[in-house]
Amino acid sequence: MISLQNIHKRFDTNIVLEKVNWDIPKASIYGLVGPNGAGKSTLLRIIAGVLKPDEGNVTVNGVDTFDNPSIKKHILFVSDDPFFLPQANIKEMRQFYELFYPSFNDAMYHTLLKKFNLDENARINDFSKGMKRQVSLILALSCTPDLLLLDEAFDGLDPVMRLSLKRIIANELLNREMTVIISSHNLRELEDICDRIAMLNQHHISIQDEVESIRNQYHKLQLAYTEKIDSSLLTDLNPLYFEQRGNVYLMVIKGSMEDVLPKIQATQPILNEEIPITMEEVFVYEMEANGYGQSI
Amino acid sequence: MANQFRLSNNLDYLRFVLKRNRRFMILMTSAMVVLYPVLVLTISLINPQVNVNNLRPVGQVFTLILLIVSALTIPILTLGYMNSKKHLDVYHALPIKHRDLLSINIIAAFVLMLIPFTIAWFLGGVVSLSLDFTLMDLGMTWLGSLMIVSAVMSILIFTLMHTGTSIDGLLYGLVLNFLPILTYGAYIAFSAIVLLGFNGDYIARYVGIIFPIWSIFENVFEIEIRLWDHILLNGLYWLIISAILLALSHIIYAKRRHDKAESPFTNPYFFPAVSAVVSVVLIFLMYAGFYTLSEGNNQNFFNPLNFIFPFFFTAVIYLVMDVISQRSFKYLYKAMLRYVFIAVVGFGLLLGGLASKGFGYITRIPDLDDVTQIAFRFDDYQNFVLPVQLNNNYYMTNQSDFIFTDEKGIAAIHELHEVILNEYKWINYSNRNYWSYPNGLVNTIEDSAGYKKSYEDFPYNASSYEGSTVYTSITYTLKNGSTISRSYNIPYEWTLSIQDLAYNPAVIRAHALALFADVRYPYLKQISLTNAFSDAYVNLDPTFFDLESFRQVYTADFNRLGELGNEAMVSPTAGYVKFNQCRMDTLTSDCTESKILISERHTETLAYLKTMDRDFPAFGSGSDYKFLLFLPDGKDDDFTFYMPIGQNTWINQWGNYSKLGQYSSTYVELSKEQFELIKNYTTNIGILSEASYSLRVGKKIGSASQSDGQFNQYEFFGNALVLPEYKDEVEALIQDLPRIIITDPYQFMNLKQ
Repeated sequence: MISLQNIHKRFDTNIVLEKVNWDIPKASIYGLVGPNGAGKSTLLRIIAGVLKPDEGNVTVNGVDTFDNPSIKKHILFVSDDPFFLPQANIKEMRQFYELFYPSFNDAMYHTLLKKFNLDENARINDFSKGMKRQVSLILALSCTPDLLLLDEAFDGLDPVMRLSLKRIIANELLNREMTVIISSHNLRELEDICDRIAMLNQHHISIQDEVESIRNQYHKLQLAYTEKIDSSLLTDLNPLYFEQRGNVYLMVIKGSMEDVLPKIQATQPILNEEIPITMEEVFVYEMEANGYGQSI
Repeated sequence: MANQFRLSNNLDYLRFVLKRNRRFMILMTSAMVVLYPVLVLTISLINPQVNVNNLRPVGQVFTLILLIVSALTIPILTLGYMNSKKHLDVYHALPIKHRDLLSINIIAAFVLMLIPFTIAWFLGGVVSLSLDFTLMDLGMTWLGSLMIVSAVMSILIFTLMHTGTSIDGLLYGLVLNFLPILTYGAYIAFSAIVLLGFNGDYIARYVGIIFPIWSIFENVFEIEIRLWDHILLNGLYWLIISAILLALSHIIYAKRRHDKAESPFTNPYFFPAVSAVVSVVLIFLMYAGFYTLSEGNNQNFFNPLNFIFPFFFTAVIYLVMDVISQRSFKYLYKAMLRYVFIAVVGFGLLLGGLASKGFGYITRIPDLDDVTQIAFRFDDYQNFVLPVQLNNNYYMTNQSDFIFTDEKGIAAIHELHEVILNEYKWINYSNRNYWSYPNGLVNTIEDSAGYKKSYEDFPYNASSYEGSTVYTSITYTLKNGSTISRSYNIPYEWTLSIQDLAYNPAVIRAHALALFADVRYPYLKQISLTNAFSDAYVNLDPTFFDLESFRQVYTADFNRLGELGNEAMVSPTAGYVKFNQCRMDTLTSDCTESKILISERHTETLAYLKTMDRDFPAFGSGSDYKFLLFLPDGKDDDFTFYMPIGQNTWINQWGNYSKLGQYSSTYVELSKEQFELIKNYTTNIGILSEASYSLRVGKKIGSASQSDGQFNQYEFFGNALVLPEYKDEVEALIQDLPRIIITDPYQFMNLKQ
């Protein structure tokens, strides 16, 4: 169980995180989403023990992670920009990680290398961006951490590789109860692999729940009328999103439909249809509701 | 268990870092080995005549340069992770304590520097061992160099904690390494130009404690200006500095963590602070440099034109530094505004320093009661004021100070200092031409309106020395342990107050330092007794000479006579004792000579020498000698009739007699018998209160034909003066001898056959 309690973080005068509370159950795959500059990477770096929060603490099974090697040997952080020692080959990077992670799994390392068809002695500098990403994920998975933190980790991977890695992560989750937190802008991707999503917005986590629960909270309705109606009848329902196209109205309602539905019926639509909503749409509507991107 | 794991893990990581950088070590080792042992060995094999003591320093210089290069580059390799956010994320996410991570990388940096240097230094040392460079020297120079270079590296590491990028770290690391010496240079240059009395004697001594790069070379090559003579003391000093900087670096690493800002280890105040300090230092340096370049006759320090070049030159440097640190020209106008503020501060300090006479530096003089010791240097090359009749070859080459600890000595020097300040206050301090006035400093001062003389005139005519000045330095040690040091070029006319010190034991000690105080020359190689008026001598066997006992009796004599002052010294000379002392028993090259005069009042010394059963030698054959007695004539108040000059001293050269040519001088030529009689009435030491006959002995050194006849050339020994109480006897002896008058000094050297 990973617990973030009342995390505050600022860089100089710039507030990045404020009152962040987040509980991450063991053996879960959490997707961390948020607009650019929301502090996703910062939050992952705090969980990894790279950064010390200005206030609050991060604990893994009740123990603080910051500068605590005994906990950190079970945590592995893969940053959005893979790091390799200058002029190193994969073998040297393996030796580097083996020094710090006693649970480094040689068999898995070799299996993954073979699977991704990578030469252990090849110089990493000569690799493409995607191959470098593969190497960093192979090394990360070979360290067999209990908590794997992936910051935009799938960027640059082709679909086949992405799928393969997702499968491997899923297997690890099943076999070792590994916990994974993945930050990404690609919500479709997160939807596929994550069982939970946390949304970071305006310095704090605004949503954290299972994917299905979140999705169930949002309702995308398409309503059609024989003639135009007073739109305030609908906007009074406080939709996250509202759009009118002639006599057709599109809106997204957050929360229970029990109270909303009778009011909609009262407007006598000739069509009242709930359209499936994607996580990406949830993210967009949530962000727009908070004023994000409206000036663009 | 956890600690054991941690240690083992850390050692594994250290090994990993070293292994990762092994190629650097191989390259650096190769470079050092080629430039030191291989170079020395091959040249020695090609030409065995080449002295290895001349070859070794070449290899050592190359190796030390590479060692310094290592110290300035290796931390960039091992601590480069700090200056990249990406790298730092990965390193700080690793299961290792952050401070351990820093420590291991610092240790790795030191080991990476240590291994190539050690291999090259020992191989080079072994192939170039000699009596001058033993295994002990090899080990000491190795250890001392490493201790000092650790500071060079630590300054860079400290800089890396603030700069954010490796290249800035390297640049500003260099700046911080050089900033103290630059600041010191500015202080020296500025003070030497504008501060009367500023003492530059010890400037070089402090370079080694503010500039580690210099200190490395200073230590290895035993440059005598070191503040501490022992190599390990310098090493220890820099090691402490290094430890402090590393401790500070650790604190900064922990306190001002990279996680406080988006840019890791970037101190926003660092660049402005360093640039501001560099600019203020440059303002002082440029002012001093520009003043010297543009110096005209009596150019005023406050001339506004003096400030234009320093202002604009420093502005350009500041703006360039700002553009480099910002990586942009965008902030140029803001930088200009900041520079204006810095310039106001810099020029404010500069003008404040000028207006306040160095914040009181020029006029400060300690209370006499607070002084416990004075180190006094007086470069009286003409021995006009302090006519010590000793061989001062050693003194002149070692520039030893007279150390006065007695009340009388301290008071005399203090009085001289007061005279200097009282006289200088009559001239304008606002330019540096203190001693280059067209009419002479003394005349210029005495022509000042309302002038009052603060010193006593000499009893004899000193006018021939008008305009010439003597370099003088005074270093007070106060009761609280602090020191005040000043130096001046002063005219002879002001120096009467110190003449009583001519035979103070401190002066004698300084002139025979190797004999009495300098432990660097412990081996007595030769001892001889010399005649007081000729170069006749006899050698004593040094193995049977008890130097310590001699020191004791001689010191006892001098202490006794010194306390009584000049008058007590005045007595006939018995002879001279000459010592040759060496630093090593096996060498004859690194030696020094002391020669001391023994007068008949050195009773204990004479008694001791008698126990050796050897006496001072007789005069020698008389055929090559000419004996002259110069007469004061009642009108010649030349100083040579008051101050005797010892036998065979360095001052016994042509120049010392030239002044005789400026006046007509009268002498009589004596027979050997007359000379033998008169010499018993003379002294070669002390200062007389009235003019007396001057006895000089010339030794023929050659002959030459001139148009008006054949001349013999003579070299004269000494200027013995007849003791006042025997003047009548001497007068009676020479009353019938013809008086010869000379006006040309050549006549004195070339006497007609």
